[in-house]
Amino acid sequence: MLKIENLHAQIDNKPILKGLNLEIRAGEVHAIMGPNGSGKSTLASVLAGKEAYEVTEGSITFLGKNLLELAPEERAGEGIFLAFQHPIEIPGVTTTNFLKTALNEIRKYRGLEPLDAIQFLKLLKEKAKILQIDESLMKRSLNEGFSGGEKKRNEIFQMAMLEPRLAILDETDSGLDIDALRIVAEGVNKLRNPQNAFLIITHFQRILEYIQPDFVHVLYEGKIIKSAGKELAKELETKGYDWVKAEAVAGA
Amino acid sequence: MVATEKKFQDTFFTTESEKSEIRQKAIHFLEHLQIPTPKNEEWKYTNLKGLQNEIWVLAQNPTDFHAEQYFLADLPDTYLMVFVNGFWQEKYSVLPTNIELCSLSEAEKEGKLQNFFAKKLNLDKDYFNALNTAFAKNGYFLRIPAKVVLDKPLLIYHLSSGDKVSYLQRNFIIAESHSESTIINLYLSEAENTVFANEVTEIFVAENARLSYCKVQNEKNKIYRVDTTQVEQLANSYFGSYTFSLAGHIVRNNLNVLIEGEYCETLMYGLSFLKGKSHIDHHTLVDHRKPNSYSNELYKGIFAESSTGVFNGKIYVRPEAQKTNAYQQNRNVLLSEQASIYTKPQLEIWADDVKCSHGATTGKLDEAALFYLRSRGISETIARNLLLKAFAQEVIEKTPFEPLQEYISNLL
Repeated sequence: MLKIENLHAQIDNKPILKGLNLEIRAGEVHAIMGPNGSGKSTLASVLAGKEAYEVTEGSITFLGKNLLELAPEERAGEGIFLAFQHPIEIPGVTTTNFLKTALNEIRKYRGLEPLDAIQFLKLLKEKAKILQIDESLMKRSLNEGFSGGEKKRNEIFQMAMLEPRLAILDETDSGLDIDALRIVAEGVNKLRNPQNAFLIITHFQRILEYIQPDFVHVLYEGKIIKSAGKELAKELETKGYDWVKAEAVAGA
Repeated sequence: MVATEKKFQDTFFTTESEKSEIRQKAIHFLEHLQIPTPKNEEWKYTNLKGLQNEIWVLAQNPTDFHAEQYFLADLPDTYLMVFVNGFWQEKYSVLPTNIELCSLSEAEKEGKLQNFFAKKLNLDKDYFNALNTAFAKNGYFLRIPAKVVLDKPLLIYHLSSGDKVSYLQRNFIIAESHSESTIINLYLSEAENTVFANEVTEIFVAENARLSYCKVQNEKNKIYRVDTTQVEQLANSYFGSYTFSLAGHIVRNNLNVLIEGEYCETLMYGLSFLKGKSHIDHHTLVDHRKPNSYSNELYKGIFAESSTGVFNGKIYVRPEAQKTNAYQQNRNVLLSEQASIYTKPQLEIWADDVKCSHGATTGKLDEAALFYLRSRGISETIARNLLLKAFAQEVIEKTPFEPLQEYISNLL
């Protein structure tokens, strides 16, 4: 589904990603862990198409297309979804209006008829139930005055509505209490199916107790230096990153 | 230079033998006044040189003008008045029966203006106020008697016809005690003619009266418009001003509210959304002269292409006006490198027990918000539009008449 080869990316002429390789197939859940400043959020931003990041080398192929040639909205149309680490507050745009516009724009991109108001509301209610979202939030301005937990839950709710092929969760777990984390994780688990994939970027293995990954990667200084199964997350939790770094240095 | 200016005001000069004292006074002031230039601090960013380069003729009452073409289906169920070149077109009027309404000349003839004509208007230092007071012949006198509550807004179309025409209009709105009304002014033109219009409206809001006064300025011709709205509020009254500026070659709006009674509420909302080379200058003043009143002002501007906005907001809190709450905000978005906004809040506070604040911000469209919307599949054009509408919404949603909210929203 997604193939990243030798990806180099920089912001303000400062190289962040320095030769990253990653392949994700349909049905898989990948977790990327790593210390602060290793490039985790940069990877998420580059995948979503944030213009401030410049790709200087390498390639990203998504479902056979060169992702780097696509605008952010086209990537969403292709099925990429980024759950933001810091969701943006947009006063004056209601969540409902925003989601209806987004959903129908994506449908248009895929050559589908737009949903009418009734079909849309039905879908909205169905998905709100899964994420245990209070429907009164939908009438409020997007994320405005939402608590940290509400914002994160709203991200996963948007994901449920837009049904992406590849969802990237950028530190969705940070700032969530245990109940909110469980709801978010359950939401993700309900949306998991053999046709889609998830990339979970996190500092902590806590979320991975609820969402079982197929692969865990360690990102360090802009490269993936170790990949293994879900047991790696627990090992990192108890032992920290230093031993992986040492291994990588020895290997290099 | 002087000769040209004489020529400009001579356009309006009339030779009637009978001139009231106040008009004579205005003519006298005019002898020492001239069209303001950017050297005048109050006109620093609005240059009227173009006004003096044209040869103007006094506008006539057009005989074959079809005002209906401008009527908005979006604003049904209102009372109606139509002015073309300042001339009242009475055949279109739809009016309530419980108000007093007549033309300016009739009101003047019958002595109705006695207590109101230029009562609080700056004549000796303001060229256009003096010009209007000296020579304006057209306009209306509207009195909403005590306790009358208008069941529908009064919609007033201001239209123009003819090229290089100029006109003056003078209006009076007397909102008597415990009356309630909403007036919506629509300034529209789709033509390519050149017009100079100066309108002065004197508004008196009596004790416990409520008046909402809206303006939609959307003249796409080459309009030079200088508009003064002079308001006096007495105790416990409410005055709300809502100004939407969507087009205009050179438009200057003076909105002056004098709070002459306690426990008044004054709201001043403005939204400018300009393209092309439109130039809008908002000068507002809220003058707290008595204690315990509240004023709140929010002017927002979106400036595209080569458009220009000017905002000057004065708040005076006089020594006597203790316990005043006065707030002001001016927020602007510039959409192009060629667009500009000159903003200047001016607070002068002589009382010590007051709550006042002001703020001005100018920036581009929020890039982070734009990316957020695009990352959800929304195209850049639609995302920009959503954000602009959201920015404007804060002002639009305050407007008292819901169909007007929708009408404005659809124009953006």
